Amino acid sequence: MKRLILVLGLVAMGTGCSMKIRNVTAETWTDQGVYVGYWEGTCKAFLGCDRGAGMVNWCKLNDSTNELVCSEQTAITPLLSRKPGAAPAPAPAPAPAPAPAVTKPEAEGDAGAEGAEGAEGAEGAEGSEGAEGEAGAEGEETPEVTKPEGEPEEAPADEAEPTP
Amino acid sequence: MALSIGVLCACSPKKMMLNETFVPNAEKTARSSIKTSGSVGSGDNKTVLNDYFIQICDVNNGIASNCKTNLILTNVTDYQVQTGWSLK
Repeated sequence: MKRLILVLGLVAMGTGCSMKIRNVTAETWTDQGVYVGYWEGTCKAFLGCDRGAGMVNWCKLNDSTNELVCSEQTAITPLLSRKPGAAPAPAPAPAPAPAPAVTKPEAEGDAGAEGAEGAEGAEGAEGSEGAEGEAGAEGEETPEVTKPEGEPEEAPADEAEPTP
Repeated sequence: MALSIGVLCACSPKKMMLNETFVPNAEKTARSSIKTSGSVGSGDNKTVLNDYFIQICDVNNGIASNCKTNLILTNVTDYQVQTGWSLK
């Protein structure tokens, strides 16, 4: 009986409490929105985190409201996956990268509350952004994100999946 | 005194700007930031969880307006800070 309880406890600990964690690795702007590259892994209690996979979100910018509507770029995800079976052999159709935004999975909660901010620490220096804008080289980085559409899967996989 | 310091520490801002860039071909600026949302584990295994935001603002003559902060990702444990100068 004790053994059964122990086994059930271990199974529950290993499979029950899991959560996804993410590591943001890249952010590249176009004039229509932003690509956000990240590694996503699943962590389970006492079992640690799996190796995860690289993913890319495309967030389309609404010009008038400055709202970003994000959707996962599922065509890129298999290319960034480490699983051998997940890598597609033929290159996908050369669809334009900015797919129409469909869902907005997580942006509802805080976005509304912080929409008109300006008093928080990170946003305080409203007037200084013209002289101190950084994160340049955005233009040069764009091809890196769009490359995986037609490229072999090995190259980007290592870059986009840092070990957490 | 100790109470005051404690209160100040407790209210310290936990939102940190990572980078700022101009949106190409638009009079807009984009600021990435993270904000602590919680933690998991304890002791040496404690991992801090963050929300990842991108704030978009219109820019006219160096003045930002119509700012909108968008929550992009949750449970972010690590991030890359990009540095460099934009061309605009």
